Amino acid sequence: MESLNSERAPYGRQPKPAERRGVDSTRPRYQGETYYGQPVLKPSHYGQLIASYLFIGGIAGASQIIATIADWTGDRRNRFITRAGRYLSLGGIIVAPLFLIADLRTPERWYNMLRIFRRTSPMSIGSWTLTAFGGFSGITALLQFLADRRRRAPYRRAARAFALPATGAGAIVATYTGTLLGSTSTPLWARASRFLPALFGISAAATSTAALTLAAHASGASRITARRLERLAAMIAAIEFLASAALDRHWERANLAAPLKETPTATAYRAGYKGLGIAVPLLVHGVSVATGRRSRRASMFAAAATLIGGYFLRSVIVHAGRDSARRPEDYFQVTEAD
Amino acid sequence: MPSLGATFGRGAATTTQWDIANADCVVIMGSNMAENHPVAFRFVMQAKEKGATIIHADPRFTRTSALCDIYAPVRAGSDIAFLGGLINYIINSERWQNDPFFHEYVVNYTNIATIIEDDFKDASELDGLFSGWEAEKLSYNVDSWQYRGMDIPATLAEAYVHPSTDDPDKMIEKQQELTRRLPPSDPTLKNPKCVYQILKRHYAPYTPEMVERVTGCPKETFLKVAETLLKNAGRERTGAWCYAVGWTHHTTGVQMIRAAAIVQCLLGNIGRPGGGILALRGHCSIQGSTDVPTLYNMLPGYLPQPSAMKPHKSFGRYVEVETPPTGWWHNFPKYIISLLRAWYGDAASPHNEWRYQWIPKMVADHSQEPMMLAIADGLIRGLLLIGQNPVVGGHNSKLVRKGLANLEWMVVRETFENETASFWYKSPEEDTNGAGARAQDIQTEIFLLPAALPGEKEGSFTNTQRLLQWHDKIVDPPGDCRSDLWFMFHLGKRLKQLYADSHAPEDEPIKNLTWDYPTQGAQDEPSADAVLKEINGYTWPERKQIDDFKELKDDGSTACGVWIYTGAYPRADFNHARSRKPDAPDGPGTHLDWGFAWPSNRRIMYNRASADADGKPWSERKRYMWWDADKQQWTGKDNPDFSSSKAPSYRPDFTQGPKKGVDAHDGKSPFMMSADGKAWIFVPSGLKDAPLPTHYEPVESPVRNPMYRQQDNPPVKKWARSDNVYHDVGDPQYPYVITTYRLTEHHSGAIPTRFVPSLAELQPEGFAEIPPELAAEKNIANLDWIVISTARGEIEGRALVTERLRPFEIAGRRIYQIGMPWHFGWQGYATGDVVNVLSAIVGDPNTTIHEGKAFTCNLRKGRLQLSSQGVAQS
Amino acid sequence: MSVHPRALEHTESGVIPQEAELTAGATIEPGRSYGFFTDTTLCIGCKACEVACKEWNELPAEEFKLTGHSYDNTGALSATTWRHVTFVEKLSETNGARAMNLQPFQSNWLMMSDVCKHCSPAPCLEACPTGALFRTEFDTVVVQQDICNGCGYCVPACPFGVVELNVPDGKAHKCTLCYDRLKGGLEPACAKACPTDSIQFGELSALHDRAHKRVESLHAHGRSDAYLYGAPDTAGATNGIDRLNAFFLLTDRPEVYNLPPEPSLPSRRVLPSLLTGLATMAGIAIAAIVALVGE
Ligand SMILES: Nc1nc2c(c(=O)[nH]1)N[C@H]1C(S)=C(S)[C@@H](COP(=O)(O)OP(=O)(O)OC[C@H]3O[C@@H](n4cnc5c(=O)[nH]c(N)nc54)[C@H](O)[C@@H]3O)O[C@H]1N2
Ligand SMILES: Nc1nc2c(c(=O)[nH]1)N[C@H]1C(S)=C(S)[C@@H](COP(=O)(O)OP(=O)(O)OC[C@H]3O[C@@H](n4cnc5c(=O)[nH]c(N)nc54)[C@H](O)[C@@H]3O)O[C@H]1N2
Ligand code: SF4
Ligand code: SF4
Ligand code: SF4
Ligand code: SF4
Ligand code: SF4
Ligand SMILES: [Mo]
Repeated sequence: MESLNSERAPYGRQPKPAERRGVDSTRPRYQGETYYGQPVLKPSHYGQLIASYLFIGGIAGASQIIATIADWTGDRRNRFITRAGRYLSLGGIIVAPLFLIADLRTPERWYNMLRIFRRTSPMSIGSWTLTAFGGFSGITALLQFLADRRRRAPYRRAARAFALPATGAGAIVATYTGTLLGSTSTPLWARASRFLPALFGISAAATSTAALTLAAHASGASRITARRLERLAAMIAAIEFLASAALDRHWERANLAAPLKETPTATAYRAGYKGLGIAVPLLVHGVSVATGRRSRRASMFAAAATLIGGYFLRSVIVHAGRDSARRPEDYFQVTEAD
Repeated sequence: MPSLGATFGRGAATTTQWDIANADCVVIMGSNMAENHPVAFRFVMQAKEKGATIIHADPRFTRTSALCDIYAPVRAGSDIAFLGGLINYIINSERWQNDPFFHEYVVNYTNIATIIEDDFKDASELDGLFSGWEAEKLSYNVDSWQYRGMDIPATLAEAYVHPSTDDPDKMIEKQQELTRRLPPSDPTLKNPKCVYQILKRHYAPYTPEMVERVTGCPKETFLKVAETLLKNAGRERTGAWCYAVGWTHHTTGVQMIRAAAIVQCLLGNIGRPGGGILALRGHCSIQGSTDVPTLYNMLPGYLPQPSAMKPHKSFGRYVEVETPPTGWWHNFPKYIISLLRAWYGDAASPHNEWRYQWIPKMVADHSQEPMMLAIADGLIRGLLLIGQNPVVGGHNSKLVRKGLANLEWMVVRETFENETASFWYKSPEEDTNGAGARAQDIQTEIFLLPAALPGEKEGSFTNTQRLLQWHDKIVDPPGDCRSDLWFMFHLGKRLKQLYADSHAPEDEPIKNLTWDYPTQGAQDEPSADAVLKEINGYTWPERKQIDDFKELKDDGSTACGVWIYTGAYPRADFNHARSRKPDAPDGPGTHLDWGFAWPSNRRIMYNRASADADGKPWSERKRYMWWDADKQQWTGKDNPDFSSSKAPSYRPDFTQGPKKGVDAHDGKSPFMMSADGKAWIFVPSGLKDAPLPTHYEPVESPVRNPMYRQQDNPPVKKWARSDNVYHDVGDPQYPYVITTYRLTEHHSGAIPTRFVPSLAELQPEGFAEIPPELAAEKNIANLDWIVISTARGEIEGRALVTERLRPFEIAGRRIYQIGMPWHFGWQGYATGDVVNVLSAIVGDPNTTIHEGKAFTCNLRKGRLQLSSQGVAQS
Repeated sequence: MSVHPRALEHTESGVIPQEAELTAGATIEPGRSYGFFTDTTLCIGCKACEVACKEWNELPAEEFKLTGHSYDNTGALSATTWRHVTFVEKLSETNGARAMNLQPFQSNWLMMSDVCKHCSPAPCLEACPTGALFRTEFDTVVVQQDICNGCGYCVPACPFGVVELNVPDGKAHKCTLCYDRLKGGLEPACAKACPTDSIQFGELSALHDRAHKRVESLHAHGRSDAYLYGAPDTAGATNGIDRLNAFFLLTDRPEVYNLPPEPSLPSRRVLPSLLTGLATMAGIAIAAIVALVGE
């Protein structure tokens, strides 16, 4: 390695990516230069509206999946979950886009989202998926409603048929938001472009399970429903624990975690997300599943904590991303290593 | 620009901007060319791309320095020491001594071989003074500076007569010697009284070590500059110099330019492509306003302004003493009579001295600075300011404001309300309290008249390279805005009306002035076209355009506004200034059909020197003008700045009787404006301070002159008074050197830029640049508020701590220098304190130009405590 | 005397068709690729480009604030500043002394006129869900103001921090490479105003040739540190970004000029990311089956 202060070696013509490896060592090393600490990137304007959208959209998408799985088990005792899941999904998909539109700076032109389809744009993919998801979820929910009212099998079968595309779309709705953030140049997001959809999907499942749990308790659903939901919640919390730890490690290694360590983000992240969103449900549900001792109160508390934690997750990621876009040193590292 | 005038004959850039692209070396000194002349700098970059070496010498590292190969830091005001060092180095170098080119060039084309009067004594003998110093008059008697046995008329319009000559007739007679023989000279350069030997002695003390001691520029850097210059001179190579007000704004400004002119003479760089001295002029038509002068001491075309202090009583006497017997200026009577014909029409005739007596005579130095003092003292009651902002641009701004508050009336023609028009209610009270002034106490009646902008009027600009370029009008000015031409024309009309019935003799000039330009449009706009036609000149009374000043006559049959502009409008249907035909990429590159350059559309002046003594190009590479023996005339890429059919072999035959005008010059004398046809390395007359540039300290300096006992320029103009106090040499109260300058982003007093948001945002506020070493000593951080003070006043601003400024080791002491852009005031979007509150009124002896580039100050961290709001901003 | 073949038109007619031929030596025709070669070694930091852009596009000024960052008082490209000149003072030499022996052309005080890179492919365009951002017939990238709905997604997509939402009008804005002027055969305002030809406008292939020659010539001048940023196969055109139609010649590391050393095309992450998401949901589905069937 050359001395840092020696005459500048030519940065030179850059070789093609394939050949690039060997040349890196002859390049003057990056010594932490920034342009007066000024940001290189423009941070996204995303804030609470988008965080809310990510949160609600996630619940809507995951609810559809859980509802479908519940339906497919063929177990009549899961019907509450199917029904509630489909309604929740519809509710979510009605509310979520409102946040999205409200976030537009020229909201009266929201329909331009459907002017074209662009496969390189997660925003475009998302817009169309939301549309499809909204449609299928709506029909599914309507058929579910008819099935519930008229108690006739054809409705149920029809609902099951429409639920299939709704579920596929729901899987995208629950996760593409991670892609949406990951497919930007914002270091924190871009570097986690494979982690974010996973984590958002898991959290979507966790929050929708939590919402179903609350619904089950509120409407006095059967104990087996509650038990199954709790089991699901415990499993998801465990997965989420692992996934988020992996992501933390990934960010830490990439030296990008700084924005997550600044107040108030750090508090929101640790206490809000990690604490309420993961630790509480993991403990409460875990203990309950392991010991078989169930408390309605505890379960409802854990579910509420999951929901709050899920919201914190979205909010923290959105805000920390903006902070990370303002840190030139983070961006330079990312683009150096990429 | 008396320095270039005194050396070469015409006070203007010797070359064109685009010719800089042909240089092998470009020295930029006394100018921040990239920032202030960015378009001209384009050609420096073109030269660079062709391999030229670019050098910048400046107290600060600027945007110009960043684009150069060598940056030489020099302390403000020390340039003559640097340039003198170059002269010393060059003439003692092996290359210069041995390459026959240099000898052939200087001996034939300059006065280096000329022999000076025996009683001449040099500054090296008299510790900084030259012979002829008259301490009681604070001026020189230049008799001992003359060529042996002759009296040499100056090439400068304003100084035909030596101020010290009591007997004009004796002077005229001694000048006639020039018509009888060539000046005494020694081509071997051995004669101890020849210019070469004097030069050698004069510059011997300017060693590289001395250069370092005086300027603070490390010896190695200085030597590198010197070697580079020498390397890029000769038959095959040329170098160009560019300067601007980094040199002129000194009490030794004229001599700084002179020193560069000497370097260029010695290196054989004048009159050749890629050579020359490019004086970078200021405002877009400031060259025009020297040619068609707004100066008090000249008539249009550099004709001498009649003076009450000179033998100018009658027209005959005026013409007699002001017409040199030899050189081009011998044609002076033709130009003055054509001018008077243009002004007074048929009212002028040989029987009434062509109405010479109607021209007012000057009685004193009427330049801006003394005028401001006269205003402050109540001697002048009314003021017309057309396109000027003296509260910001004038020196000692408090004194200026005190003066304005003393006026009865003031007319300001402006594009926005400037500081000068608003001083009475917006200026901080402290700054006008010399007059005890609060808004309600100021009696001055102020008329703010809106002026039209360039796109709203037609006319011509004469730019830095003497190039007239016409611009058309695009739109009518809005509302009450009118062009300055409109204003002057209609003012003249009304004055004529006012005096129509008067029989008072002093009203005759106004009554008889020809003032008949046609007007057009709803606003009665006078035709600028007609004005340019008159400036160009025509026959009288037919008014048929003429196309060369050689056609001007002294019998009243021609009328001409500015003789040097003849050819700009050579035919009634051809405005040459409006032509826009660039040469093709493979063309000669002189672009003779792009605008019109005076004189006679010559692009490089003195271009006879681009050929050797025999008229052959010095080299193929530097081919420009040459003698075509077949056609018996000068030919080449440009118009010859020489009698077009005078052969190189021509020798005046004095046995046939006296030779007048350029007939007295031989065929190898390219500088036809001067009496002897040579470039003047040694200036026998025309300058008030020295025949050879000599290092003097600025009037305010932290050090004693390390070179001579004489501290500052002996005849410097000072006005020490309680409202214009000067700091003592080395005054510990004011230990820092301060220099003031421009930023690309603003223009001068900056009214036109501070009011434009997209310009104002680029440099939104006043600041001072200070070196980190000084900042550390004073515990000042970047952007901290600081107060800068002098005996004239105090201002505040932000500190921009930057390594682009550096401390200097001068005569063994560490000297700090700070810098301030002076563009700011309280008007517009970009504001800041007026820097000229700090500066003093003081003047170069030749030009009365101030010393805004080098004075002393103090500095402290913090803010001003002003009792009124004024300019202090949060 | 040889006069420029088009000089006559120049004087006689008010409007000059294909004026760019005279001012930039480029004929502007749809279907060809245009861009900028910005040679920082020629830049004198005069900011004429910044002002010309504001004047032509009638953009408002930013705050009037002294930043203390050398002579840069506009700070960065933004929705209302489409050209921005950076200033980096590098006067200290290794021994602590100030520089005097400079490198040929720009050195020790670096100045660069930054602008939208008109990337190919363009991350902002790829991100735009409405098609407001489109590729013009001149191979440049432009926001159609009548379509943009202010979703703001192009903003974080841009790897160079160029495009920005303007708060008052709720649309994204950036350099249009003077789309309107190109249609009229005019050289872009910034390039035309640049006194030293630091900004060179033209057809890309011609610019690439010129730029490579310039680098070679600079190397011959001893500027071994000169390199291209954004021409194909150079720094700046990396990781899926084939080229920047506005590319640069730099002499110091990209970071010094506030440029990412090896930017990447965000859309390359879309598919892997989506698939990861779907795989995750498949996993969740399995978990759900396990959870929902047992007692
Ligand atoms: N953008 C812009 N362009 C302008 C103007 C403007 O205001 N803005 N003004 C126009 C006008 S009116 C004029 S007169 C010209 C002036 O053009 P310049 O002469 O280039 O103007 P300044 O910036 O005043 O001074 C030039 C340089 O002189 C240096 N200097 C100071 N003292 C000394 C010294 O003792 N020796 C040497 N060698 N250098 C010294 C300063 O550091 C500064 O860098 O520019 C014209 N062009
Ligand atoms: N300390 C310090 N002081 C200096 C200098 C320095 O370097 N340092 N430089 C000096 C120099 S070189 C100069 S030239 C002077 C300049 O000082 P001023 O002569 O005062 O120059 P400007 O500020 O350019 O003033 C010109 C005014 O004319 C107005 N204007 C523009 N166009 C027109 C028009 O068409 N018609 C009319 N009627 N008005 C118009 C503009 O708005 C502007 O306010 O300052 C000098 N003062
Ligand atoms: S402002 Fe005008 S005079 Fe000054 S550099 Fe630009 S074009 Fe030339
Ligand atoms: S630089 Fe940014 S705004 Fe410009 S084309 Fe590339 S991605 Fe789009
Ligand atoms: S803000 Fe406008 S230009 Fe940008 S992505 Fe959204 S719609 Fe497209
Ligand atoms: S190309 Fe046009 S829009 Fe783009 S920066 Fe230049 S002037 Fe501005
Ligand atoms: S106009 Fe040209 S020289 Fe001036 S700052 Fe812009 S790029 Fe640099
Ligand atoms: Mo000036």
